[in-house]
Amino acid sequence: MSSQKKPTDLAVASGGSLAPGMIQFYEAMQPPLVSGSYQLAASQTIQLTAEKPVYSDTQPFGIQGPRFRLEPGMVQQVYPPANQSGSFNEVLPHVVFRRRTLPWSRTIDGSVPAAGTIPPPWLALLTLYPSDLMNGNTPIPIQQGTVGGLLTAATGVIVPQISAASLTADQLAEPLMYIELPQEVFLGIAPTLKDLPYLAHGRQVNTDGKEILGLDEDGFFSVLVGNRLPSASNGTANVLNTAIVVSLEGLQSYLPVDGTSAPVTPGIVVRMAVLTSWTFTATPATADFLAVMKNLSVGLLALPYTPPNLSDDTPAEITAGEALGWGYVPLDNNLRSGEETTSWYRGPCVPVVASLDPNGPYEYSDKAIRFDSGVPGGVTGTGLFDLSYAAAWQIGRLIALSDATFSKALMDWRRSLMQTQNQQQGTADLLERVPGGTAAKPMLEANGGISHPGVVRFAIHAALTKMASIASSALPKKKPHEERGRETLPGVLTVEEMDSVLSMPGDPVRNLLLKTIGTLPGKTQGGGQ
Amino acid sequence: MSVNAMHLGVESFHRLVDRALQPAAAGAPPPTVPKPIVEWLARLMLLENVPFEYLVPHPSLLPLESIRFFVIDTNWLLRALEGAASAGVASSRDVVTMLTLMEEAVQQVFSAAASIRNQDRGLPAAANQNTVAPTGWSGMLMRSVAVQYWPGMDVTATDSTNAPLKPLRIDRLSPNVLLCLFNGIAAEVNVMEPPETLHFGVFENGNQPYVIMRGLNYNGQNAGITLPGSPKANVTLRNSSSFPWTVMASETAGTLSTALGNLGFLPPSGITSAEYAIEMVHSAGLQTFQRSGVL
Repeated sequence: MSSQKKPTDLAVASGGSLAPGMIQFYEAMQPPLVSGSYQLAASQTIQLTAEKPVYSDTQPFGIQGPRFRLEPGMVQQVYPPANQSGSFNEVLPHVVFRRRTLPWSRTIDGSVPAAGTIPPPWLALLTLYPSDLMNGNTPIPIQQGTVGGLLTAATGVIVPQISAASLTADQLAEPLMYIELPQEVFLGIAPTLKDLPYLAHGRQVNTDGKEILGLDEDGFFSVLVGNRLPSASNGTANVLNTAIVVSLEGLQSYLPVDGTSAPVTPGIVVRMAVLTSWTFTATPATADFLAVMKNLSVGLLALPYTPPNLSDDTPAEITAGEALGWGYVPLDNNLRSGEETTSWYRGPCVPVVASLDPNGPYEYSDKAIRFDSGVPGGVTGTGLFDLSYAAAWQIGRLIALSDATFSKALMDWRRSLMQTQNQQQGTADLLERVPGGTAAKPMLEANGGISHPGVVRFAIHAALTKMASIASSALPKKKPHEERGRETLPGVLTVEEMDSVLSMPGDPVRNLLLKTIGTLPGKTQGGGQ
Repeated sequence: MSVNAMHLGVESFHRLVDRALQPAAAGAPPPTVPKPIVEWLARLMLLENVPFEYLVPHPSLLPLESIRFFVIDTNWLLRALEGAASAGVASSRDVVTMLTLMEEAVQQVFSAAASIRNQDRGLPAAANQNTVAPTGWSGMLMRSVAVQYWPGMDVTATDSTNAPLKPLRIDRLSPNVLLCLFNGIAAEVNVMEPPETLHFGVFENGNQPYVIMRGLNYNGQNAGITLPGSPKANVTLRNSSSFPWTVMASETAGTLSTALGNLGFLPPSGITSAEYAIEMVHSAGLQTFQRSGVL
């Protein structure tokens, strides 16, 4: 990188305005009041009289917020992406909520936090491996239920310590999703009460100008971070991990505590409301990205070879070494004559800059075959063919032929070109034949407007003008049609003439012909027939 | 010769020539190559649809876990272009037509190839993007599990003067082979982990995850900027064989606090979830490869 920025840098804003592409982190975004039931109490003491009576009243009110389920659209983004597979084994899953106060909108124990304190979030993001979702041989499902069912105590089930009496019948009947995890799993993967505050934070982004971090809205979000890396260490197979966002409200006393190993009773399960869940597949990666990258061997696209040692290599070895260094590969080649030989080939990707072939273009592939025949009377040739360019020609043609649309378009175009050529040739031929046409050809071509009717018109006029330049009086005079009498039309006879013809002795047809031709003006003027 | 007649003749001559020069109703097709054909040939120049064996004729050219630099042999491309253009050539007249058009077509095709990538991405063509680098094209082939596991890697290249090169094609030829072509001769290629999604995560050293610490807007270190020397801090895992890889967030925050404190970069407010988030963001890894050997 030419810039000073390191790849591990993160565009964090701290205070002040938020520039585009920057991101600001907040420890928490607390609502003025957490969700719950409140009582507004007012009292007034009247000081005017000696009795100083006190009037007081109370007004109960409640602040409701998401508790056992989330409205659709509350989740802005999850990572790793749902149903995606990738190298996620170094990733802590996270979920971005649109509501900035969500992780702090209630408290885990239902208490109202003291002013100036930030209570731990009531939500946690758990990462479950396939083995965690098995109770013996029975898979543990994420089930559908109701709030009432979630809170109903049962033998061997730890339920959230939320008083059902504090909820209305409607609230108890609300549907939700829940999961019953074995207590052993819960203690193994759930965050401790001390961990929880670190696993949720607020975030403000400025997305002016470009999409950034997949958060397509300006403003504030809250983020819940998982506390467990996904599993990808199951041999070579892909591992389906499940991420669930659970409500820990009422479960604070069942959370794991670091340094102590709580007694686990087999068969006990912990029942929790699941607010959202998704799965993703972690593919086995040998190492992290940079480790894979550093492990790559870097080189030029050529077969590995030892550079020729001019002192003791045979000429053949030197030639072969040079060819390999230029990216050539020796391949078996069956010649047309039936012989088998080895020929050189290299693809379009070569390790050395090649100079341009001055002999192209080639109309067939054999012309592009190169043969090392050596110099007559000088250097002995290897007798090997280089088929690289011939193969290129052939594959180009094969790809073109395999695409019917392209080959048709190509042939149509070629045909239309030939039509144009034919037309141009026809025009040229015509111009050659008409007097004065050839002289006008450059002018017509310069204006690009060669068309048959125009050329014909021009040619005729050119011919007429040529005649006019000899003598204007020599131009044939034409009588307008309306001035021409019916009798002047050739071959038209009047009734009297017809009668006289018919009355003439001899063959009537011959008489008619004589009469007809005899009336022609040309005959009387020119005198020749 | 009558002066009057000559005058008349010249006048009508001009009139007739003017009429003859009117554009023809059914105009002849312009001699340029039609756009679909140019585009198809341009894709061929970007080696689209060319069988992999023709690009890499021997497996040893591109072994597993390797990156190989190359330059494009323009001769090879021209021969393939001629082969494609000769499809359906049936007569010697066709051949002559094809050959004479090659010179016209080549320039158009190579210019079009430079804008194919933008076109495929639905971006408008930039003003100067059709310029073909006079040095020719170059590229890089990578065969690695990284191609498979990190789809959407960012690949950028610079030439020997450190000027960025325009990518002509970045494509996965198979699940683990990535082909990149650049307009110019690449001297250095930067491969970056897909940076689209900011996420949380760790680096791993064996079974010990760690993070590379960032500044927290304290003691002259801007928030989010990697601390000088890229110091590491271990992430504490819960000691459980049955439920591995569970991060102890508060312990890790303590480790970070101590490590930052030792370096003098711990703000007085300590590590809260905001600072924890900044430290735990998994940055996109970036690796620079330099072309070895002289082209």
